[in-house]
Amino acid sequence: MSNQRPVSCGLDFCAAPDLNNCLFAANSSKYEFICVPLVHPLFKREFVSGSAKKRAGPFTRPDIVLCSSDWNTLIIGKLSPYIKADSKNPSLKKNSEETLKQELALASHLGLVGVTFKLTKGIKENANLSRIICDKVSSMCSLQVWIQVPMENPIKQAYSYREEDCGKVESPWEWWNAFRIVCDYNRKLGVALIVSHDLPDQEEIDRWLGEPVKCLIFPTTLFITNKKGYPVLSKAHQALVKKFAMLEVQFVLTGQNRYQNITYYHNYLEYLWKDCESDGAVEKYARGYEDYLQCPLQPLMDNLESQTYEVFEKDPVKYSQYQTAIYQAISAIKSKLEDKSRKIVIMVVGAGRGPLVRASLNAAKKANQPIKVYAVEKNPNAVLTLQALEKDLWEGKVTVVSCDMREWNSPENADIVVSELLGSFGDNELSPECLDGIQRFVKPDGICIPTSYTSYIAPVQSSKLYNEVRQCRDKDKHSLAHFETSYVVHLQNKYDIAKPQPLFTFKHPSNATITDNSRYDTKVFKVRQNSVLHGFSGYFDTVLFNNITLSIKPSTHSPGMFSWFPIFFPIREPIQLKAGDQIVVHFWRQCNSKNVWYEWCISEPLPGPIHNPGGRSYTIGL
Amino acid sequence: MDFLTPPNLNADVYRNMSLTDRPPVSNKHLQFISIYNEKSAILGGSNLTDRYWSGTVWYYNDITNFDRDKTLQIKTESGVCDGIFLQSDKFVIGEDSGALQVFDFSTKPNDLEELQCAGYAALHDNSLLTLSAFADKEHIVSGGMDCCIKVWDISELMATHSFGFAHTDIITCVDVKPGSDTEFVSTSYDCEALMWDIRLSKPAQSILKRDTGLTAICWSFKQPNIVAIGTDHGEIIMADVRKGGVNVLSISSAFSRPVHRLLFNPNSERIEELAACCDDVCVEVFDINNQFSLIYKDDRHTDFVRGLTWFDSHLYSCSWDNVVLKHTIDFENNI
Repeated sequence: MSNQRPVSCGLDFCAAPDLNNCLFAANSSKYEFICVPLVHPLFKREFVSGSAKKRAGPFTRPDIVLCSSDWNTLIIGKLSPYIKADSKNPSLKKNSEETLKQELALASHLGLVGVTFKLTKGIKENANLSRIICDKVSSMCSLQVWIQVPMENPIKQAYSYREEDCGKVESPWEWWNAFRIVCDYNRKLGVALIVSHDLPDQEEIDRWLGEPVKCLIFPTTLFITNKKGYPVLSKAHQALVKKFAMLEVQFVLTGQNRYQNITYYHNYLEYLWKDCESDGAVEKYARGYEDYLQCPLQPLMDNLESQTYEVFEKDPVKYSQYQTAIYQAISAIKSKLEDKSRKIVIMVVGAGRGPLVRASLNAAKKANQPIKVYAVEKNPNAVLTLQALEKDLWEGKVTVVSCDMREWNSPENADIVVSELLGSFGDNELSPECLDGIQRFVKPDGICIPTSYTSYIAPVQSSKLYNEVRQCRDKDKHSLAHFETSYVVHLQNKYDIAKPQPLFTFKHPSNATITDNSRYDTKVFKVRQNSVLHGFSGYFDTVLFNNITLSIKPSTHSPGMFSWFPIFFPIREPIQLKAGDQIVVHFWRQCNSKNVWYEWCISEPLPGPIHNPGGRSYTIGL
Repeated sequence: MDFLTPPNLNADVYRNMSLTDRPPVSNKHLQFISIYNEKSAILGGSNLTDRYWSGTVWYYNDITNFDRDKTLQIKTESGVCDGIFLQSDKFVIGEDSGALQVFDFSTKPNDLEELQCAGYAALHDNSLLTLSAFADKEHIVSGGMDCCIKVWDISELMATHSFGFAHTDIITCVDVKPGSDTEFVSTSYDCEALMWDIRLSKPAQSILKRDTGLTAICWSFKQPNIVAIGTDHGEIIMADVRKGGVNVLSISSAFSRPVHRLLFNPNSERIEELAACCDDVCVEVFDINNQFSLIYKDDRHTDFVRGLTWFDSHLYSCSWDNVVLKHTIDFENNI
């Protein structure tokens, strides 16, 4: 949770008798914007036939009641509530369509940020409405459409007044899901989630976290009065706000004011919002990167830049874990040493600007064990740093080797090989291939740090990421290339359809007679509720030595560590999932003499094409 | 010489004009009419298209002339949606803002009567669209765009029952069963009509479910259990809602536009007459006992007809055209 901006809370008006007064009232009670009907909510127009079609005069108030900067920034327009674009009554359908077009055109004319309306039914009764909305948002206009969806199906409450049972109730998420599919996931469509008194179960709330929720609507009836007489939310509703705070949502307050001053609600929501702020190292580092797609680093092919080294060296957790692991490895070797005076040989391969060299020297000092360190680095510019450090700080204990570790002929064998070659998906920065190159210089009972690492994948729903990938354009590449590439991304706006499962594991030193770093595995995930598959999130964990680990898998994430964001493997087309479905996904790690790449495909619930066959869209260069 | 507005400052001048600077604007979109007796009637209107969406209620102590200029009037902050009498000198209105207001006459020391607001309660969370009074005239039921039905104790100005999400969409109409202090019916855009009895722990019962929004409902005054229900399709459905077995009696395609209001003639000799209006200019009266035949049709109004009321065998209507019409239905000469 990383919101830094102040709370943005709007005030909804069911009637706007005097628009200037509405703005003034909202503004003087601290509300940042207002939601108002653009046309009086009872003023039906006739477009088809009859005398009323010839009605003279305006259909609503003129634009000049406000200056355009107010229209542009302070107003969300509410569409008329009686619009029934899917009515079977031909004249009502036609009138509804024309009414809708008239109001959307007015909203464009006024330059509003967005319009909003309530979704009360499934796509069966909303297909024509979604077509018209889709048509509007697909045009050049910048208008956003906030679709109000209740968290709980109101039919539950309606049936609580009746003898009979309402039976199985469709989740309003289904209404939204079908609506936005028909609108082809248009980015201008957002959810305005109406918070209900009774909250749905956790899993259903979490599913909304994978949707483009722009706004939470709080009815004033939701608030309870605290001991001091002010409006507050229940614990469950507070927890809900915290969950959504990380999506940078806005709030809207709707309904009658039930307190002395309507600003009390704003005060409380502002207080909740501030309470969600977190200023930990991870949050600070990650701020601004939420759901932003980055291409994974290729440190083997491209030398890292000074700035990149600097950012990663700031991680407070990673290097202390390494130091502990090295210390334990030194101690383990030391206990078996026959010649107690012999120096332990440590090779730091891919030494960069030397944090692991320092960790090794520290560990040796703590263990009271003389060591000799080789710092091997292929980036000639980082070698400059190593050489300077060696000269001024490391007092002859370190030999700096300017060479690719795979080509280096070591004068002696190592007791311990230390490396930090892992990517967000473990092996995706080619740690296995690099360490294979150095393995011949590891003593028979030598230790590699890390000892092993495992990648994990999990199916994920995120229309935001789907849209981000779809937005990518690169005319030099295959049209599907963006869907066949993995991305490093600070995942926020997502729903985890199932828990991560381990995929590929590599161990060092490898005792296999023939090294083969290609892998293939199939994973089966159970779908707990209806949802949409947009791709797979990827994580890794690693055993540095003994029980010293690093992990970015959510359930075991190393506290405070920020060196890695998860990885995301998209799929070409979203897949609609039903509760009880099985997702069967196949992942390959493929290698040739020049490249390594991943391929993936889904065989259940629906078979789909192989992504990235032959590494056509993306490879990692050796 | 008058100050001349520079040609490029139209917008600023308009924006900065205060209410008192403007020429008077009539609230011409008449929304409801209700006649209690020859000496007591109310008419409600809003301005739905002007810069200010306010409302007015006019009180008449003579029903021969509904001239808006020569009678008592009350301005309301937001538009008015519905109004009902409790007594000859006491009535309730519902507003766009969701507010409910009670008005009555207070007698001043100098014997002058003055119309005053005797109660104001803003409990509906969206526009209050429809009102109906129980037989005791001390309790009423209201419904609105917040999908909520409330039962009110008018003397305490308190909601004794509040049924949030009574329906899953806008509540279009509520009507109390004639003579009852506990039973009423409701319709909604959610395509369902419900019968309510607030004595029961499960007060609601479905009486009709269609594939189209239901927009109006009214009880027959003398045939208990008979209701007329209007739909978005322009149909009028007659149903027998006897407890334990709801029975649709007939479905008539009365209009090509959504029905707006239905009202049976309270005259005990003409209980078969059902007046109706829709999202159109016509006022029609049907004979429900005679295959739903059309016995009166008038299209003198030039905009949507919104309000209907029967009095003394006459039907009165009001419309967004700012006109109140009196209709005389000649029973002998069917059209």
